[in-house]
Amino acid sequence: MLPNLRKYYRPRSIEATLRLLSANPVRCAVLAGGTHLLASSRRDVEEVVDISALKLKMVKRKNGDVCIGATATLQSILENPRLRKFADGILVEACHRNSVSRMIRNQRTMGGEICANWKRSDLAAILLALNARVKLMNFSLEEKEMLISDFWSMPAFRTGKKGSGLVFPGLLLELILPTPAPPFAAAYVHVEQIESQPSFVSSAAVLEFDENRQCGEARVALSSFADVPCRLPRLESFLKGKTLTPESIESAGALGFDEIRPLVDSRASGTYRQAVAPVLIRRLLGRCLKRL
Amino acid sequence: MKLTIALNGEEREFDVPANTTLLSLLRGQANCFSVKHGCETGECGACAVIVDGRIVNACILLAAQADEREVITLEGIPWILATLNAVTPHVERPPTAGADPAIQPNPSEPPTESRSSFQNPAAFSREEHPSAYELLHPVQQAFVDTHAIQCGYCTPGMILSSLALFAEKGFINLPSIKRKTRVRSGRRKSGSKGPLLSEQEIRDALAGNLCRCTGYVKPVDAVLKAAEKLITER
Amino acid sequence: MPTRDFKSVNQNTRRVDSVKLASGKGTFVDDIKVDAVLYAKILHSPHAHARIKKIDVQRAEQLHGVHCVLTYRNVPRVPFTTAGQGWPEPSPYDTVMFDSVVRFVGDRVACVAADSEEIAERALDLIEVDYEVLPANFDPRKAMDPGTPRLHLEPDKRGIHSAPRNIAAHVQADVGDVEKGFAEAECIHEGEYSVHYVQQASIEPHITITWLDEDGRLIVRTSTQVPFHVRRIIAPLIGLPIQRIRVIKPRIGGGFGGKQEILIEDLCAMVTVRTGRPCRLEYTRAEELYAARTRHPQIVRMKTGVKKDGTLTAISMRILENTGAYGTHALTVQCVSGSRALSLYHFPNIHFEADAVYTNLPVAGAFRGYGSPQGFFALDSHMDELAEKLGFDPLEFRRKNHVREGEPTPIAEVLGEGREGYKQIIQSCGLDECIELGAKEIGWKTHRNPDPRARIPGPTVSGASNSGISGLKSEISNTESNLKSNMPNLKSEISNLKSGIPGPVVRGVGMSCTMQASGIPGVDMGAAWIKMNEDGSFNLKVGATDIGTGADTMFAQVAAETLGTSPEKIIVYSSDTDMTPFDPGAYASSTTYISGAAVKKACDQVREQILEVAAEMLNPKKGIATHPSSERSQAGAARTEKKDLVVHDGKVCAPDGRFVTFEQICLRSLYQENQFQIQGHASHMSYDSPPPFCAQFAEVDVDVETGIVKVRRLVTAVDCGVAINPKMAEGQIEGAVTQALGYALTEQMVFDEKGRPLNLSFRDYNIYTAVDMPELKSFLVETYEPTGPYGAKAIAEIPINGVAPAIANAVYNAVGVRIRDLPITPEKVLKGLTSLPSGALG
Repeated sequence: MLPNLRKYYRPRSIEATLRLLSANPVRCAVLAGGTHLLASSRRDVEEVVDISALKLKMVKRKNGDVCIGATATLQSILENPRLRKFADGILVEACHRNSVSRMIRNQRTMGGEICANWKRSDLAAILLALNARVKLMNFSLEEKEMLISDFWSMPAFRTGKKGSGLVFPGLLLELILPTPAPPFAAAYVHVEQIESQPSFVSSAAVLEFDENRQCGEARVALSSFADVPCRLPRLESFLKGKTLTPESIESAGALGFDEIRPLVDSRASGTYRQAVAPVLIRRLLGRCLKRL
Repeated sequence: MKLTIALNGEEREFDVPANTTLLSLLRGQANCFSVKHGCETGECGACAVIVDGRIVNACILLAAQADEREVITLEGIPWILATLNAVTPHVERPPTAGADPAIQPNPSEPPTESRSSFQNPAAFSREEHPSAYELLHPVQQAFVDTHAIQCGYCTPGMILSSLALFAEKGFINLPSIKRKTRVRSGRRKSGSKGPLLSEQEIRDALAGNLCRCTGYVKPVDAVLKAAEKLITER
Repeated sequence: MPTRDFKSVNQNTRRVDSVKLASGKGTFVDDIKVDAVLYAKILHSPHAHARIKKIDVQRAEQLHGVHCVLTYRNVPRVPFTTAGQGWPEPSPYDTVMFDSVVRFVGDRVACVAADSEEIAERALDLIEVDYEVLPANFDPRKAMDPGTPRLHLEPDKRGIHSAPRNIAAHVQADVGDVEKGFAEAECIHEGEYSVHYVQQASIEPHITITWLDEDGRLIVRTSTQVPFHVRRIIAPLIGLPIQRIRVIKPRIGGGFGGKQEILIEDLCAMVTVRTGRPCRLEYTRAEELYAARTRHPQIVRMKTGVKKDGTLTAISMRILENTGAYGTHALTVQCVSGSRALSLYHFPNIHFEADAVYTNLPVAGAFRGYGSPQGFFALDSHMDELAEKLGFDPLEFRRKNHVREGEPTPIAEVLGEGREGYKQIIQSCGLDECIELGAKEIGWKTHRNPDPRARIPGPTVSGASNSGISGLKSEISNTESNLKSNMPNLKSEISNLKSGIPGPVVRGVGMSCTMQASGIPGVDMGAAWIKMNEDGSFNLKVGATDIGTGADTMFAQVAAETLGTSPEKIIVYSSDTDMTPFDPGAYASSTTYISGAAVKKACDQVREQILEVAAEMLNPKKGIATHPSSERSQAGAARTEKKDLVVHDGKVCAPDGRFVTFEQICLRSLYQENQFQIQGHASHMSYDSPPPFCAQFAEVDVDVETGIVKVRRLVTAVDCGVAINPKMAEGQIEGAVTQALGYALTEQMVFDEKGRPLNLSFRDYNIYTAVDMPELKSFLVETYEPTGPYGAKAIAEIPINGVAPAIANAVYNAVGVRIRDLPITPEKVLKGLTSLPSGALG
């Protein structure tokens, strides 16, 4: 519940939306599905702009990319037959795992997850591994595309400043997922005690190979491992040019992540996270090997 | 702010402050007490309602978000049953007590059925007056029959989750008074083969409804039984 | 077993409240509309221990729409206990409505009542509190140390065992001579076990609505397990006599012990008394998770002496219990830990000692099992270790030593609940059959891992880049060969985990045996009233408190069985301090055994009255035609004695085949002759408290690389005597084991270094959902308890006791890692896998 909410808008155009947001960027929040915002009981929010009428729900293919509108719900993504096999199904798998609650998946949007829950979302690792881009529009109605990693590096996300309605000055319109170049293999591996729990640690990989089955582009990411979801550059460069074999996978797993300070929270200690992350990496790569 | 919501088959107008959640509107002005509150952060599913054919948590939805949309709660069951034009299955009623004051010979066989079937406690009620049980939807009856209800606090949410699942699977059609609502059904044609519904599908559908009493065994069983019944009746 | 020819009892009667609950009819506390209601909110302490130097509520009071602000400065200081127990409570009077000292994060500081929740929230923000933060202690092991801050030194507090030592409660009990027993032993085994903070987490939060009726009496409509205790306990706090308070319990959305507490009723009532206005106070989920009640964490030390042939010679059990900031249920929970655990096996010599200490953490209270889950986690783990040490099959070891019919449980006599108990002789025990059924179902002989210590080496916890990680291929093949040799049919499971992780998984099976009691002997008393109506229906009024357990249905079945009618004819009403007789409430597994017996007694009286009237009707006095038909049939009939009449299916039948219906009987008794109301009232208490018994079996998969434990199957066999309603009894088992799964594996209240709770929502406090469940299998093993109503004993609590130890034992069987502190987290399992020297025991 937002105790101080006074105004609700449901504009029908992006222009009107941005006008409303720019008029009061501090006390006005974007309302997509609301699963994070309305569960937050934030006292700083006085206005919300519901973007559900903006026709941003679509999922389409464009030039080999998959474009997912900001207000597409996680349930609609996982029900979309065209996405079922996309990137070996890891996107759909992570959407399903995001919450065991059908209600939540019916409400929660991709845009909301990217803006409000990216720090602890398994989807963040998936999107990093897929090298996702976001399409934004700023208050001057200029469209802009950027890598999702750059998006999350924006100051508003980094500082996590409380008491400001908007996470960035503008509107997230779309998520763009490039289709990995075949032959490729993708995998998503996570660890938790029971299905309904958020993952203690999760990991995703997209590996592209050349015709000799040597790894070309490799993107591996972890979520809920460090303070923020992160790619693993050392591991990625290790994989480059390698063939996946049980032996190379073992060496990759043994690389370790000494450079990353692990997260400590109510679920697990940093020590545990450090102990299981290599296991996840080995399983992740093992699964890629199986899929190749 | 003024809102128009198609609630349980009826266009209703409400006037609420902007920060009102759909949950508090339903329990407050709309008198829909079947919608429960257990966490108000979308994690327990006690407040599950169907909005435009989709099951959602009313506690993390602003009432304003439901403006111009269609909402179904358990209070809408009579409407659902009426639109289906298939109110209740035939239930054999025990003979009316006290009809014949004469002392009769002792029946050799004790009538055992009268114990197991529900009898309206108001024994002087008219014969044609259906019992509260008979007025239930088959899904509700299945919850009653399988002992799937303990404290009953999560039950309305579970029943609505089941209805949403059945609508999605095409076992039932959820009625609508708004044309633009797409009826999400018909995936299954009657007579098609294969298992009706796997236990896993039911568990997936109920996963958002936390229950601290039942261990989910009997609720899952209830949904399975209801599915069987609905599909044979079609 | 005397399985009698029951008509209503032992049947799966449909629950009397299920139709209204299935249609979502307004039946819970909050499902009413009260005009002009005030919304109350509580300001909780942000500090674990602090003195309120100054509290300024002026700005809050001046906020438009605020009607009442309560703090320690404007309410009377009346020490009491929030434990909703019988009088005089065995819990210390260490609590006041508001205090100038706060003792845990979540303690009460102030309460605001306003026209809306939003205004009340805003007013809370306007209260200025100047705290002097005091040193706090979060470690029960340090609670008695000289330097540790003391929590309850105020002179007006009563019943604290030793406030200067932070000991809320202490108990000691001895049977025989434990030193002599240890001297006789050929093997002595010791172990320390600990259990953690968990929450009852009923889906309906605590909620109370209060108002004044036309007579100026205070009505308290509240989500409680103990309406009569609520009335008695709040009366002195709000300064009203009991006479002017009426407590109504409508349907309750689960309690599990959490609603045995007088948690918010006093505040809500106080607001109404002060303002004259109705008031509604409800906990949020976050408040439920940090400012309600929890299970008592315990550290249990066990020392057992045994002979090589498996004969037990002595046991010593010492408990250090953490009661949190207040001593709610502190004494009695630890008493139950001891009295249940030490009753199950033949221990000729027993020493039991327990201290409950104060810490600056949330307040523990009653929670389903009430000390037994703590005691049995220790005992069942310990028995498993002992069996292994002696080379026994753990199941056979238990079989050899558990109590049986006709045997006494000597500890019960010296260790009651908060005082000495009463002598108990087991009169029904189906534990052997429970063990047999469960073992067969789980496949004890075939599925046990014969050599748990031949486990697969996993990675070490010490660092990521260690060399201890064996190759992926070799690990999988290791696992495969392990599985192949031990469990031939399970190979495919390696790649079959739900998470899809192709990890090396090892399977194990474990079991536990537990017992509970049926009510508190010599303490619990329940009462019932019943009256007959013209149509042959009956109004049954009980103080016993159905909180979702199905008690009302059970009463209807007991009444119907006794009266010879059908349960549909019984209109059950519970509970309301104005309308129903006394009952202690829903706790201590007492409802069926105690209150059910009261219902039976009351119905016995009514049956006698019915038979008397029927006898009159079937033998009309000369010249008085009571009924044309009876006259008609009288000609050839001999005189019918009352003793020859039987009630059956709503009629009274004579041996010659004539009968009169209940309708006719009631009409006559109310309107025609010798008019009187056919009615009965009875109370019941008992010095017996027959234990139900339970055997539980778990089959687990342990991922040796991550330490993740997945429970695959859980089998529970319970002897609860005659199950009044087998389906409902099954439901109690299924619900209890589900809570126990969370207790064993995923539920844990976590605090930071300042005692602040870290998991304040269901996202972070993980109770099981429908997709998390293992396969559950429940058996009801029927015995006949001669002292119970229709042979019944209790069922509601016992199935929660043995799940955690069965899982811990299964984990040990799988990978040889002994987890002695709950919950069984992957972290602990992994640590065990990497540090345990091969061949070491436990």
